[in-house]
Amino acid sequence: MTSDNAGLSAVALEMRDWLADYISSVLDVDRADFPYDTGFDALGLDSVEAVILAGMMEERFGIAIDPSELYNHPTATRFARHVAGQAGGPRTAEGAGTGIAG
Amino acid sequence: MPPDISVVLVSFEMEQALQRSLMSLSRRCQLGLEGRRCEIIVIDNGSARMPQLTPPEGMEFRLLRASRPAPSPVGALNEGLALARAPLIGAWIDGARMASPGLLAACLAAAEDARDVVVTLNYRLGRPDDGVAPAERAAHDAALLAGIGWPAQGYGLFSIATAEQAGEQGPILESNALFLSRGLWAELGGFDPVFDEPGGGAANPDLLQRALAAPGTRLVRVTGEGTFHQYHGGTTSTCRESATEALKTIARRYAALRGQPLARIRQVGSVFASPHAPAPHAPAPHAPERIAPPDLQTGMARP
Repeated sequence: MTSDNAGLSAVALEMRDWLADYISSVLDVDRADFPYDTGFDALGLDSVEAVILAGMMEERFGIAIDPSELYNHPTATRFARHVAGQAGGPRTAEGAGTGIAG
Repeated sequence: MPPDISVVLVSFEMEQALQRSLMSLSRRCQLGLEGRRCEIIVIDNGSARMPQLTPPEGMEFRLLRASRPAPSPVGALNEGLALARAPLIGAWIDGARMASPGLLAACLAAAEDARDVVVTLNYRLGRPDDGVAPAERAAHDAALLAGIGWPAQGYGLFSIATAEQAGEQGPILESNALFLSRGLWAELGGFDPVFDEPGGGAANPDLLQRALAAPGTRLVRVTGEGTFHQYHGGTTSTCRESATEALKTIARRYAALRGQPLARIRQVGSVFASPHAPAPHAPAPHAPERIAPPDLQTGMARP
C-alpha cells in the first residue's frame, strides 16, 4: 500500500520512511506494506504514543515537533510533508538533510 | 506470620495526597479483605519534613525514610520492596494515587501464579481540559472528592476521573499499582536504578516491559478497579506543555538505554473482573485524543 512519491521532497520522503519504520515498530502494522495515507488514528496511534513519536522524531531530525500537529496532518505522507516544509521547505534530493540533524 | 499482600508507596513532599492514598488503602475503605493480612509501607524519598500520617486502619503500617534519597524514586522504591514481607507485593511509584475499594482484594484473587504480572489501570482525578490552573488543582481535587462523598463512596472515584488508557482492555504504558510475586520482584531486581532522573523517567513502564518479557510470565489485567492520581506537582503533572516535553525526554532516554522505543503494551492478557466493582461498572472517560500524557513517574519531582 505504498503511496505515490510525487510531490514529496527528499526530506519529506526520508521523514515518511522514518515514520513508517517507527510506527511499524510500536504498532501492529506491516512495514513492507505500510499504509502511508491511512490516518494515524486508524493505525492505532494514540495520544501518548503521538507524544513519544514526536520526541523521537525531534531527536532524529533535530527539529521541534508539536505532537498535536499529528492530528492536523494525520497520515504519514501528510505529516512528513508538513514537517519537512517547516524544516526549510521543499528540498531536492541533493539538499536532503541540510539543516536537519541526522 | 507474614502478611498476604504488601504495598509499597514512595512519597516526596505530598503529605495531603499521601494521606488520602493511605485512607483509600485502609481496611475502612478496602473491601473483601476479611481474614487477610495487609502490609502498607511508605518510604519517603527525602521530604524536608517526614510526612505526619494517620496510619491506615487495620493495616500493618511502616513509614520509613529512604537511606539515600535521590531525585529518582527508584532507589527508595527498591528499598521499600526489599522490606516487604508478603508473597504478593505491589509497587506504587507515586504515593499520590488513591485506590478504588476492591483493588487489594482483586489483586490478591487475580494473582493465581507466581509468574503472574498483575496490573491495575491508571486514572487521574479531574477532566482533561477542565481549565483548572495548577495552583488550583489540589483544591479542585479536594472539591471533587467532597462532591462524591469520598471516602464513603469509593467507587465514585470513577465518576470524577479520567482514564489514562482507552478502555479497560486498551493498550497500557504502565501500571501505577503493579503486583508481582516476591520471587518475580527478586528475579527482575526491582526497578532499574539506571533511571536516575527526577521522577524516575521510564522506570515504571520499563519494569512492566521486563516483567512481561521474563520467561513464563502472564499479564493479568484487573478491571473494575484502579488507582487515581491526585495532583501534587509531580514531574509530568504540572501542566500540559511540561508534561508533553517531559514525556518526550523520557521516551528518548528509554530508547537510548534499551535500544527500542517506549511503547504501550497492546496485549490484553487475562482479564480479572473485580467482584467488588459495581455492576455495570461505568468506566471513566478516556482522555481525548489530544495530548494528555499519562502521569508517568509522577512522584518525586525535585526543585
